[in-house]
Amino acid sequence: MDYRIAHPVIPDQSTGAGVMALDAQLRAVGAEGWGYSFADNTLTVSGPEGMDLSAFGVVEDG
Amino acid sequence: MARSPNCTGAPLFKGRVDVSISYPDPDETPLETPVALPTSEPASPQVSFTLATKHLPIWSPYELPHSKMMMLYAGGKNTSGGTLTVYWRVKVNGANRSTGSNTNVGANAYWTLNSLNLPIPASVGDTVDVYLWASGANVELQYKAFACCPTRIGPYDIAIADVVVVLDGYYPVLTKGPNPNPTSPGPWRVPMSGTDQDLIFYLQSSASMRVIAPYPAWRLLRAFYGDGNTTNQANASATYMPYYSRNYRITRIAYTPLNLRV
Repeated sequence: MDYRIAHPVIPDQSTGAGVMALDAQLRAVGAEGWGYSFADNTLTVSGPEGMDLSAFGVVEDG
Repeated sequence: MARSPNCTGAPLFKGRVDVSISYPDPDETPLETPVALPTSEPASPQVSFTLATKHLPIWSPYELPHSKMMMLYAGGKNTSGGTLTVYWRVKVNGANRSTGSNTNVGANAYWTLNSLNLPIPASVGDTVDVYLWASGANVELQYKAFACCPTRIGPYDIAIADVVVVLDGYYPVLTKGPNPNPTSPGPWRVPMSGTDQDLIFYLQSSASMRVIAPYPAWRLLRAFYGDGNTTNQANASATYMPYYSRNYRITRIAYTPLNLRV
């Protein structure tokens, strides 16, 4: 299942350390993969149904 | 009595528009010597493509208004004995575009990055760089591919009649990886409003429409993967690489413009 969060609260993605830090945070809540878009400041997360992503922002409907 | 400038009398037909589009083979490279991914972000990209005229679809006898859309893929294999994470960063013309990871690339499994959220419109000379690294040793980059297709095609702010859209096959078709496998092809969107939140027709086969008045934002036809759906992910698979997303391929568009501004 894919989740989409606009304007997420996440580590700075301009460095590799920030990428790995976000990965660790998302993996801790069960994510299997994710992508962050600088253009629209949006985080998309793939993982099982029912993941709690509230620490990262508001998950969009649909 | 003065006529409304928005309706200049009875609709007058202009000449019929009928164009075809052909596509070059995607720019695919299976790497003869796989590249080992580092365990921290590299200073230089391992994958780099620059949009060139050789990548562009060919319109005949003329181009309709459209935007160019780039599609990039990179893939490889986790040859280690355990599950690892593959990380990526994509830059376009030196500016950050996306980051991400797949945390679940199993032992001896393949991974494929689908970078389908690149800037629209793209221009010849745009460069896309991909930086890849992994959470452990023995993850390889084995393959890369790049393609360009049109999106946001057609006129806007005029009504058009007897619209014909021919879909024939898919684009891109990747053949040079060890075991290519596409996901379900992306349908073309025919937006029926000025936003991307409202009513949309989806084309998954050739179709005709009697009359339509496209909105400016997305015009008559909008690609799914890469535009309507900005996929930015790495797929993991025990058997497939590249494991990739693509769209149905438009090969012909025909319509009759009406002298009816809307």
